[in-house]
Amino acid sequence: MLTAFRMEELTAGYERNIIFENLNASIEYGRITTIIGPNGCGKSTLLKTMGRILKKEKGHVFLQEQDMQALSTKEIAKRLAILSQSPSAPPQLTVGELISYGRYPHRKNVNRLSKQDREMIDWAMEVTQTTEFEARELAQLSGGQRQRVWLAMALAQKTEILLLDEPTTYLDMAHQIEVLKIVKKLNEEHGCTIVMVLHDINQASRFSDTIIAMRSGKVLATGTPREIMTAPVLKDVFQITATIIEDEDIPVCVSYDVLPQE
Amino acid sequence: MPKPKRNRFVFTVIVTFTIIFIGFYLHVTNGMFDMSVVEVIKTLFGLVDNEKFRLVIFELRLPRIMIAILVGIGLALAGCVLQGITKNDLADPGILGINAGAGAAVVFFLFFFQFQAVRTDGSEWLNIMMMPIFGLIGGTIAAAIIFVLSYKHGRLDVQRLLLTGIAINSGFGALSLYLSLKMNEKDFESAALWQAGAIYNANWIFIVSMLPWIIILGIYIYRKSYLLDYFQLEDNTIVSLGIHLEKEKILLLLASVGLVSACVSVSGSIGFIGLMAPHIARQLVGIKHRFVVPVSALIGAALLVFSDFIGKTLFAPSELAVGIVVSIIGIPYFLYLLVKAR
Repeated sequence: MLTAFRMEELTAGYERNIIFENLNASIEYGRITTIIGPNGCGKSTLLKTMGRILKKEKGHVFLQEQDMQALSTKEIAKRLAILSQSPSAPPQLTVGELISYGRYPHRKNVNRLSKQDREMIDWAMEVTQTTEFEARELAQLSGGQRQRVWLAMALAQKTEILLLDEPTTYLDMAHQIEVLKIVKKLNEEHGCTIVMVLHDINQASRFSDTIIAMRSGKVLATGTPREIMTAPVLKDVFQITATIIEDEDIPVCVSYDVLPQE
Repeated sequence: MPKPKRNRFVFTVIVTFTIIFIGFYLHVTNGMFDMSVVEVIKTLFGLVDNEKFRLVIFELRLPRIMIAILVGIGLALAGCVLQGITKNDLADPGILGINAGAGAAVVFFLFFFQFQAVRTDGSEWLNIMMMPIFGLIGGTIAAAIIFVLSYKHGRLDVQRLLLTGIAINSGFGALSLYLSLKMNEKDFESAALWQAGAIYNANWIFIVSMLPWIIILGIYIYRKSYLLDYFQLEDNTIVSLGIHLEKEKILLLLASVGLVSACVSVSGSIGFIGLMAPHIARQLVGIKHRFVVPVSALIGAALLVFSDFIGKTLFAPSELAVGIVVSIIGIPYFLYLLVKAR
């Protein structure tokens, strides 16, 4: 199996607050992998550590079988892009300018966009359907439009791997699906490896090839949506009793309740 | 780059240059005695054989204006960088205590080395050239303390930054005061005047001592100005784009400390220029630092030339130190920004 990431005895956290310890996991290349789990389980922390925006305490992260420690931050930026949870930028910045920032790791002249830069920016706007906003300021966009623009910036980085930290937060239902469909398209048509953190397990089930379920800093289960979306696994992970049905071959959690307190 | 923004930039540059020129004109023709434009021009080109004119222009007024321009540029650039890397519009080398750190080091230097050697022999040059380097050491120490103390959970905490700045400011201010009180009366007087931010004792040696700092660090900051655009994003996004965040921050910080030190060693502590100039520049040309950086520098120069002109003429024949004039303008501006930021 070709891996995009392999974590070996990885320990990470914030200051003295260790979130997970000696974690081992791997993520397949060319697929969509979603990390799920309750609040505070370490899913975002894991994603941030993979994207080196959080420094690890111990252990190793291998990016395409190369120790990330040996790679410069710019080299990493050519291979993976990470979209943080609800990112911010000055409201006066135009959409086109923000997306062009994504070209940073590839640029030779920081003050002039090359023909290739221009092409990649146009492509990123086309995929995310943001071309019409190019000249607008960020302040003039709705939440859904803004999220697509941020995604376009990450795409302009032209990396094989894309890490998304809760890309659907603060979006209404239609816009959530819109963003996830773009993600799916990137994977299917452009071969992007996607690793994301999602809160909604039904969305994870519908849009992922592999799901990693975490709880209290540990990986409890890894598998296909069908393997993870089962009452016993969800009970372990979220402490819920879930009712699962299949809708067009996709497992869906139709209702759930919290476990009775013992 | 969209055309309108560039045009606006060019227009702003022309206007600020004109303002600096007007300030220059007022400053050079007015003073202890007024001179006509023709007299000034003739003296500048050596066409008039009047020893008094030559003295006033070349030894008094010109160096003073030059210093005002250079200090204005230096402090404005430093403010621009500090506001960029701290993501805080209220950052200013004076408020953060970098001025005070550099000042204390310069007082230290004056106390131990300078005043035995202020004679017109070769060592005077060396001493004056050494002053910015001492200032740099003091400024760096101050900046290091401020930034170490304001890091919380690996992030720069803005509230801590301002509070530590205030503490550092008074700490180093007290040190300077203590040292200057131990000086003899005459030295104390000139040290106190220097600390208040006076530039009327300007001379060409001061200009030579600070010029290389302003040119080299100014070019460095201009070349790195694109980074200040990226710094408007969140740290996570910046790192994700492959920017070596901490390294670039430290280098830019050192560059601004260098500028502040060069300025402080010549003019003493002048606050608020680093606060006002970048802010006005952003109002005029937007948020692209390729435009903001040069416009801030010009506005800093214009502010200081005019402030010094006011200080020179308002209570003539007594002079008001330019640092005080700038504070009188700057404090209301600072308060206005504070109120607006809430």
